[in-house]
Amino acid sequence: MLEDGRISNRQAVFLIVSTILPTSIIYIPAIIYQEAAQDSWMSVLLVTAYGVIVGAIIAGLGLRFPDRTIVQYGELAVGRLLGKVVGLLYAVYFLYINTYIVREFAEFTTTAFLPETPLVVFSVGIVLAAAYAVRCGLEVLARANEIILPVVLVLILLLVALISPEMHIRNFTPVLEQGILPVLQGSYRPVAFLFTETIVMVMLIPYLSRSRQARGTIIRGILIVGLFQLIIVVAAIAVLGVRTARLEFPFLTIARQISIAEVIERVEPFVMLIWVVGGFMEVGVFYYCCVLAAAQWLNLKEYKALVLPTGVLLTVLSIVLWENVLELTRQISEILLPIAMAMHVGLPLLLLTAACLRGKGGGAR
Amino acid sequence: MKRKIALAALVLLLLFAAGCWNRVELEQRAIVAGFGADQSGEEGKIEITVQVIKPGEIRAGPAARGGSPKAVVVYNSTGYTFFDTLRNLTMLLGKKLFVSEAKIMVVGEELAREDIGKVTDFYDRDHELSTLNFLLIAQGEAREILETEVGTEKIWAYGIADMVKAMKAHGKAPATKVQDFLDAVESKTTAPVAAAVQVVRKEKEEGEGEEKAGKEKAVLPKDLKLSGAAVFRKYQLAGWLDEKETRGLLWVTGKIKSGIIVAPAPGSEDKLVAFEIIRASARIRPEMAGGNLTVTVEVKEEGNLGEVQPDTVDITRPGVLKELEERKRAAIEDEIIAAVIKAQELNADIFGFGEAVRRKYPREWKQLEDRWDEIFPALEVNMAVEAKIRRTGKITKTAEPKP
Repeated sequence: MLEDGRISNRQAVFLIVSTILPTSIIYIPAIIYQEAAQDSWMSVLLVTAYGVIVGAIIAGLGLRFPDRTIVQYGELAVGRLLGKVVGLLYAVYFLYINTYIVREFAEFTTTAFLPETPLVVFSVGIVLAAAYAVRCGLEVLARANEIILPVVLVLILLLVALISPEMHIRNFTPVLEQGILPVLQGSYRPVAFLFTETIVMVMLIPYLSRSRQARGTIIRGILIVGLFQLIIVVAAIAVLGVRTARLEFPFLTIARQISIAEVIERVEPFVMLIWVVGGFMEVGVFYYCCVLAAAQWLNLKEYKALVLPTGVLLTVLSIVLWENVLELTRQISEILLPIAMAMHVGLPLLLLTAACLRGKGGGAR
Repeated sequence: MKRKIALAALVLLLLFAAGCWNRVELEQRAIVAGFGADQSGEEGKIEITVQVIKPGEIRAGPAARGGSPKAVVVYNSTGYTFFDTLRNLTMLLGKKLFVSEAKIMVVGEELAREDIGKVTDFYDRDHELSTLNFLLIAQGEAREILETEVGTEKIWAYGIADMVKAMKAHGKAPATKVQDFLDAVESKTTAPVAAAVQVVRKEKEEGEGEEKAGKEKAVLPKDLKLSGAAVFRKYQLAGWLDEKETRGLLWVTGKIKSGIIVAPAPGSEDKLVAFEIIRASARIRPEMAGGNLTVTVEVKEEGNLGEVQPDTVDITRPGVLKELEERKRAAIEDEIIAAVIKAQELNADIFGFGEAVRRKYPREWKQLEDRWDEIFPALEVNMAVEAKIRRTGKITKTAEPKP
């Protein structure tokens, strides 16, 4: 087997949270607010519900083949040739979405903290760190995350608690000013690629210590993400109000607002900390999935040989794919979004239907 | 062994890796304490004044007052935009400005009338500047404000920031941060306000004659005073509120923390009583009845009797306290009315009445918002002020000469 490690279901929940949360808390509040304004929190609830449904589909698919990753069971579900195509698609897709994450990480750091440092420094830095973690294997990744994620979550709660004196309830009114439509629009964009990033579980389910409970694991992960996203969005509405839509990184601005008796001030480095360690885990998980998928697709005995080339590719792509930050954000909604919809929801649903019709798999029942 | 050598090499590397490649030592920094922005004489340019801290002079301590070197230097330069001008200042200073420690932004009247947006975007966009800085509008030139010494603070601009914070004690100037201003700009109806600051001469210019100008004028003692508010319509200065109107505004927006209310004493009309505001709260309550919109301002105030001019009030007499409360209520209403009249004159919804209507009547608001410019000047504003006197100080009666 390529990966001999086993991770506990709790570690898997943590991994899911780490995969989705960092990007979503930094970038998403503004995106939702531009559509749904003061009703953004409803959008988050919708997003979470949608994420749970998609998570259930992904789990349903994985549970039919509990000992195999999607690259391995693709052939069983839809036949040898199509299965190979599916496997390749996922291997490439994990690389592709990761380039966005690496670039977003670098863009945030340059825009918000170090404008004169070249982008490539951050790309190389985070990919190198992630590469080391990936080489060490899934167990190491999961255990590192067990240390990192609680720090991230506690810091988020701490920052929100510190800003609570600045919150204004009146920012939430009027409720549903423009009807329900903006709420739906607000939930569409982030839904598509963030709250369905549980797709990484198609690679990880076979390595769960209790893979039969994968469905609960995925749903728990999504609910935690949803809860924290809700906290952040509520804080953004209550503290920043209309300003949320204008800002690139509302959460950073929230942290900058904190001023308790002029003693506790300038806590934005904590946001940086959240983003660096969180982003590292996020990149690491997708990186790992990509490398593992590629190795399985090529029938290699070891995936370690692929780590470095993939990392180089990841770094280079993250820099050359987009000229500037506006191109990046535009492509997220215009190109990544439809692709992610297809890869996260469409393809798993197709595979699940095919497997059911052909009566393949069935480990779950 | 190999591992140990590698480890030693790594540790050695640490020695050289300490610190950032683009670090700047404290003495090398030109730390800006406050900004001023004016319309420049040159066509299409703006003038930026910066008050730069001299780190070496700060620690001199309070004993060094008078004749000691100043802790700040003021520079100014012109350019086409805020950012451009900031970099142009480097030509004068030989250093890049460090702007994260700035606390205030003063905008000159002329530039404010033209377009204050010329300076606010950079505040919002730049990663070092903080929109938590206070925004002040100078009655006159911003440059002069920054060149004026503030006696209580070695770093003058910080003294101005203290003046803004001290509005809590009197409520006669708003404490507007750059971000509050921008939030109001983004609202479709709310008119932004900012604190007004002016230079006051300590003594009258003798003779008022122009021959005395020149050198003498430059050394004339002067002070800064924060008083009143500047009212904007979007990015343009529309007018000023005086101290009374400003307090009326702050009553309505619930920003009054403390302050003194003066009212005529019951009994004799030439004597006065003064009350201290201890706490106050406000609510704006729009009412829509048969297509007719009215706004009720509810203010609840609580305070103490702070001062009585001799020979007037005997608060121990029943009914007197009620009478005093009534006078205080009338004084508060008076301030609010003054603010409402001025705001309606300027047609600037400084109170956020429009936003209050939007929150309460989102459906009807869609028809109202485009006509708000017509509705607001004629809007019926009612008042429901509640003023309480809780304590009367540590005496019951003014000392009286015995007959």
